[in-house]
Amino acid sequence: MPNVTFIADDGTETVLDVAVGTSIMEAAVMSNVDGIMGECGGSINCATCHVYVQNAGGFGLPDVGEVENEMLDATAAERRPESRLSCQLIMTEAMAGLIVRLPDAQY
Amino acid sequence: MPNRITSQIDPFSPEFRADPYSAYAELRSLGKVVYLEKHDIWCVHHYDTCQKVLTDYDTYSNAGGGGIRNYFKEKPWRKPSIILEVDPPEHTRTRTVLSRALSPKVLRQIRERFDADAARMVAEVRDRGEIEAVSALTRAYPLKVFPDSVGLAEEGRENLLIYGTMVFGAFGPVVPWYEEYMETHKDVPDWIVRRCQRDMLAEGGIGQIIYGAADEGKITEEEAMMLVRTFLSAGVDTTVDSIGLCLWALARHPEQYAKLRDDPTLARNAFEEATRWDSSSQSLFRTTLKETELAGQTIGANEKVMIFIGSAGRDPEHFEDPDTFDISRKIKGQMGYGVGIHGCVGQMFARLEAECFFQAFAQQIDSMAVTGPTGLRMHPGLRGLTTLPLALTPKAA
Repeated sequence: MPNVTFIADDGTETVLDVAVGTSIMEAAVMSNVDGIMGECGGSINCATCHVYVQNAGGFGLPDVGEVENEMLDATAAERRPESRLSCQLIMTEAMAGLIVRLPDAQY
Repeated sequence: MPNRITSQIDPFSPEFRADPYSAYAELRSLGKVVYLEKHDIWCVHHYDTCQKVLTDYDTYSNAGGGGIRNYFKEKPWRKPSIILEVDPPEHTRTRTVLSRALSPKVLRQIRERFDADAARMVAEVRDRGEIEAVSALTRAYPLKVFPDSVGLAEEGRENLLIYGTMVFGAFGPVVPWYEEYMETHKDVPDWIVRRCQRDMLAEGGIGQIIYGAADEGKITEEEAMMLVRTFLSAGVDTTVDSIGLCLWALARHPEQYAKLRDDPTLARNAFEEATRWDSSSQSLFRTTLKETELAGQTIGANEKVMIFIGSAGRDPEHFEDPDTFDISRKIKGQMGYGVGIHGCVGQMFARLEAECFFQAFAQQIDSMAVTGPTGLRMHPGLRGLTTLPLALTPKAA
């Protein structure tokens, strides 16, 4: 299974194997990664699965969608160019080795 | 007659309203998709099928109306909601405006006020011994902080509860009680519309944020008014009832309340667990746009499907030991706010409101006990308490 590295705001690193087709948010929540809430269950409604993608190039990540874009303007932590909602990042083989940093707050 | 599993269970009967959970267990044991002959509707009641129906909006539409009445076949009681009762792509624009108005960024600025109001309201009753907790707390608190946040004037706020009863009462079949209620309070919908106008809403409130989207050209002035109306319809009763049911659950599980009392930071998780275990919104409706197959069952076009999210929260295929109320449960993906594009747009607001309330409560109250009969609302609409007599023991100062 391809893996994703989560780096918490305090520097703690967690590497997870993520099944293809599962969102990064779901993988993090199911493995109790602190710092990703995903309270709305992936409905692009709560903006509590906000991540900063550290190495976006070459992974074929989907473009930021219209609703995601609006919600990224309203996250608890500041929006940066590399901001994404991790519920919208659905795992593919090509995404192996992705690294995401977690913001200091989700709500 | 098509092949199907049928049941005589009536989800709008007093017996069902008094104890939906044993009916859910029966439905789950019957099969994944059941036809309720009393009302000629389909229903789903397992976590996986509820999730499937709620997320497949190409098949299961909201434009057919949020309740049992089928707008594809009959006229709605009010102009359909421009966010609840529409499908994409129209839905996306209005939904996004509301999502942003209720986003973490906005809520962070509101939290302090929620904390202060909750602490003050609990302090007012903490030494009274015995209270009727619905009127003293679980209705009073949302009725204060919610309209304050929207920017509504103080006067006439009880109309919000009346309007909520009208909105949620329309969910089920028409009964004489409801028709009388609509007649008695026929002026209230106009009152609500007047209060939703731009010049009636205080600066800095969520109402003005929604009108700000009209200034940016994302929605029209009329749509802004309707979104404020939607927010007022959907945000008061739901939180009143959910906070009330959570307090009731905690009062009946002293060992769970003790955990919260000893660690008030569990408040958000406690409310999340209560929303799974017993919450105000027990079911939703969708209407099929085309013939479809669900878990082996063929369902025709233009058919109503009732989704028992209250049952999804008790589905042992998804939640371990689902009938146990455990506020320290690591709870993921509970469906009490629905899920998918029509998942409750105010869910972050509701969580914050409840978190602040139960945190303040746990900081001040050592223990509580139910001292008399509680009342459950039996007329159509949400699940909620009418009375909750509670004896409170304050924490030592």
